[in-house]
Amino acid sequence: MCVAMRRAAGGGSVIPTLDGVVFLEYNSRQDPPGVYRPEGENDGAVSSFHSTPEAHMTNLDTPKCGCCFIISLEVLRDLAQGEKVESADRATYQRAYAMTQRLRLVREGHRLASLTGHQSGLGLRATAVAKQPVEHLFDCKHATTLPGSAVPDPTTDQAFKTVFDTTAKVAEFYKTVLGRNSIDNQGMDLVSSLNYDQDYQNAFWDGQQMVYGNGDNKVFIDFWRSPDVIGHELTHGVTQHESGLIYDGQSGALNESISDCFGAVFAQWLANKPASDAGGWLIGAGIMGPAAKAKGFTCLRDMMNPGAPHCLSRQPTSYKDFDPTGDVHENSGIANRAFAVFAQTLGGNSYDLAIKVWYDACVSGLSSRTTFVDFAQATVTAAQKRGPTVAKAVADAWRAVDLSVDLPQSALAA
Amino acid sequence: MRVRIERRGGVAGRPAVGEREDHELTAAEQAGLKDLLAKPPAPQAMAMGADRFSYKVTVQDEKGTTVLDVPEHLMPKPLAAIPKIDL
Repeated sequence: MCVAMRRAAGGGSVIPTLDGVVFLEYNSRQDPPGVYRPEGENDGAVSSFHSTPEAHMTNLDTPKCGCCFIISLEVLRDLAQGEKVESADRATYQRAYAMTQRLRLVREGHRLASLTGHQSGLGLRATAVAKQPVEHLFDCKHATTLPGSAVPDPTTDQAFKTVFDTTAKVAEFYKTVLGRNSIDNQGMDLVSSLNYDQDYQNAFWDGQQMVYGNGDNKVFIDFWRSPDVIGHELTHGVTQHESGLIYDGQSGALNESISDCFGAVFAQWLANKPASDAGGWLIGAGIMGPAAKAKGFTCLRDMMNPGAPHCLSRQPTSYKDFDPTGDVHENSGIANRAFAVFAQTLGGNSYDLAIKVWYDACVSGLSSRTTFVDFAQATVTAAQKRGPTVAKAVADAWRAVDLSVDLPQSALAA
Repeated sequence: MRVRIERRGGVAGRPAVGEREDHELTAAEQAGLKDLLAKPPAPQAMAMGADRFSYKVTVQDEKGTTVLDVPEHLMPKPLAAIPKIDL
């Protein structure tokens, strides 16, 4: 995939996306209709846009932004997360926050597009050939303001290049293996921020984007160094757009497990590893720091063997041991093991069949309060469409973690 | 006064803990604790998204024990740095 923008024949230029390009062509109009261009905000951006499907960029020599935001992103974010804000109002603020963040990204994308050599007074018109996810990378520079400073060319730095390339691969995995177009299945742009905070021992999904810390270089190193972690975080976005599993209790543990499952299988797909490869079931093997390794920890979690001593975060392996007071990252081990057992029972590659059954269950209309039993049953239902042998393998996998599911007679015979 | 801060969550899922006597708190930590106790988060406050940290802050003094559950985005930064992972 081409990263650098370049001029296209006929007086336009192209912006690379994950699956193609967005073609930019000159537009003689100086201001598209409907653009609000007040005095005031001037952040160096030179683009503008309006709300039609076609995005327009104009006045490239004018150091003015074409779109203002009356309320800052930080204020909206605080309101969206404010514990003293009424829940109905908070939901409104959350929608406003999400919309503002996306509009800012569009504006930033257009600003970057303007840096490709269009320095004449002509306008620029962006026409989407097809809605495909575009990647945006940002550098937090060890602060905690998101998304941080835009990184126009990720190829100049190994960390940004790795995140850019791996995130593109996650999108490719979702598209080619599962038939999904990005996080929202509608080509949502993919936003990643690196270098978050000082010695930050975490990566997270903030509801809109992926965020990666650098670790403390003792217990953890950079959190983007494990492909499965990148797949894990992006999958949280998928879950948010599908079932919206509430991040607490059983639904929260399932939310975590789903991210581990798709993260691990993405990494297996990337490395062309079969389900039988034990290393393919390790989560976070690439982010363990020297102090953790010295103590014998080789991963955060082992999906096939969640209670193993080489796991930095050991987990229960049986549904009988589900702890209602436990963290979602602990109880997720139960469903993790069920999936790993299922995939190994089927044999071959996890990405050929097993993950498709899990995906079908995830997009089957799960409620936000789905329980382990609900989800297990949904996986059986999804597996039935692929034959009784597959359905029996799913049921057997759940039984391996002491969770019983109803199985149709046809599958029992298998 | 004694302060105990437990950190849970994060993609790693490994808990971290830190404790301080009041005389061990830096000025920034004391200020953060004062703010937190003055404006405790609502019981159901949560950070948006997934894999965020959450903190349990336990303060013991002559008045008794105060326990606060604090989501990452409401945790004073100096206090957030206190918990460490014990390998």
